[in-house]
Amino acid sequence: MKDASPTPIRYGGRPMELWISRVLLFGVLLSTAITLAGLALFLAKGGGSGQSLSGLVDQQRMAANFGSILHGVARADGKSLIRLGLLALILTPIARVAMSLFLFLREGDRVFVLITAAVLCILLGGLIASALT
Amino acid sequence: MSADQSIAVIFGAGILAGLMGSLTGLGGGALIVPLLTIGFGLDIRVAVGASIVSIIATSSGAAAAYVRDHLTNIRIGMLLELGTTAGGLSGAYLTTYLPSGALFVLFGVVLLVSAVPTARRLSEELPHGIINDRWSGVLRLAGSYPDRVIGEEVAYQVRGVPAGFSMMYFAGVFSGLLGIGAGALKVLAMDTFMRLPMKVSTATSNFMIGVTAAASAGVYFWRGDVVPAVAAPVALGVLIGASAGAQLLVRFPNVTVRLIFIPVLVGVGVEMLLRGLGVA
Repeated sequence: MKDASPTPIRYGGRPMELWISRVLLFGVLLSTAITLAGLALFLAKGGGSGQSLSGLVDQQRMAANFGSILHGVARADGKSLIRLGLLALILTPIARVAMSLFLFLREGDRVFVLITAAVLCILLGGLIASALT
Repeated sequence: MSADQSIAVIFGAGILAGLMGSLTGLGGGALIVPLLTIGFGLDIRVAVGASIVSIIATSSGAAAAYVRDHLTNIRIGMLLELGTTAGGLSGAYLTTYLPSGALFVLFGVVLLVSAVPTARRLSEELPHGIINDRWSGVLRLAGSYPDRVIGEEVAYQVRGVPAGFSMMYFAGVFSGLLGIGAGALKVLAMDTFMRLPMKVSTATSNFMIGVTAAASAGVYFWRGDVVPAVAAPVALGVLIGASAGAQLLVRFPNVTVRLIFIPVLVGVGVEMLLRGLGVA
């Protein structure tokens, strides 16, 4: 088989790349803004003054759930705001996979719809299972 | 050192980790874990929690630029992600049956051995004479990227898809077992078996490591091992470093990227060996 002419994949102006890039950028900016606000709030309220890092870690190392994070945010607790920002960061690659699924669906690319759907199921299943246990 | 000073140091290390991680496609975890465990004496699970955050931050921060600049091959990324996430799932279940010390040693040896074929291609700017295999044809994996150094669009074909996919599955198993990104195996699979241009390999690996890390992030996050005072400076520092790294990669020739990749690969290999032997 002589196939010397490679066929570059073009998505008619490549909206695929553009949309995936936008999802990633949005997730990163949102997460940065929330995490930065949380860290600033934490430091402004005294931060870790008068103790070591390992002392601070022992204090902050506790199981989290979505309700406790939202309650903390409502109390203007810096730690909880940071957790919310980090959650947005963790969700960013998952949102990117979801966007890819939508784009492959729109292109009618059945094989890649299946591949992407399988990846998304494993990711969401893992996140939800870990939140419940 | 007070906690506030430690937070500043971790932020600085995060910038460096994001820079190296985004250029090599390895994520920044290999730098963050020893800093937190050896440097600050923190528990390994807190270090791994922060490392997972750093990998996702490196991946997402740099991928926004790499995808826009067409360096990332999205189709190859999605296909191989199926291998890593499935492998990660198997690894998470196997973790109670296998000794992690021996696995770290095995992983370290694999990385050190694979540095040899990579180093042999040190002077190769672009792979030549690569022809699509059957799978690459069916799945339309070939692609092209605009190379700013050469000044033209570089088209490439892809071979060794089954070998690359299998290696990706094992990369996922290692990730699930050891709580590491295993980005090195991803770059090596694309560079050695599939023979993609080096920048496409690192950018596509960078694209995938975020998804691999996100698959296990939930466990660490809800359990509380992602500690705000540690993970926040890591995330913010890494995002800055990764954005800078993404600006650099498009301007570097493939040869330079490989030149940066090899010593980092050897460093990670040695670190994994030491972790396996209980030294670090």
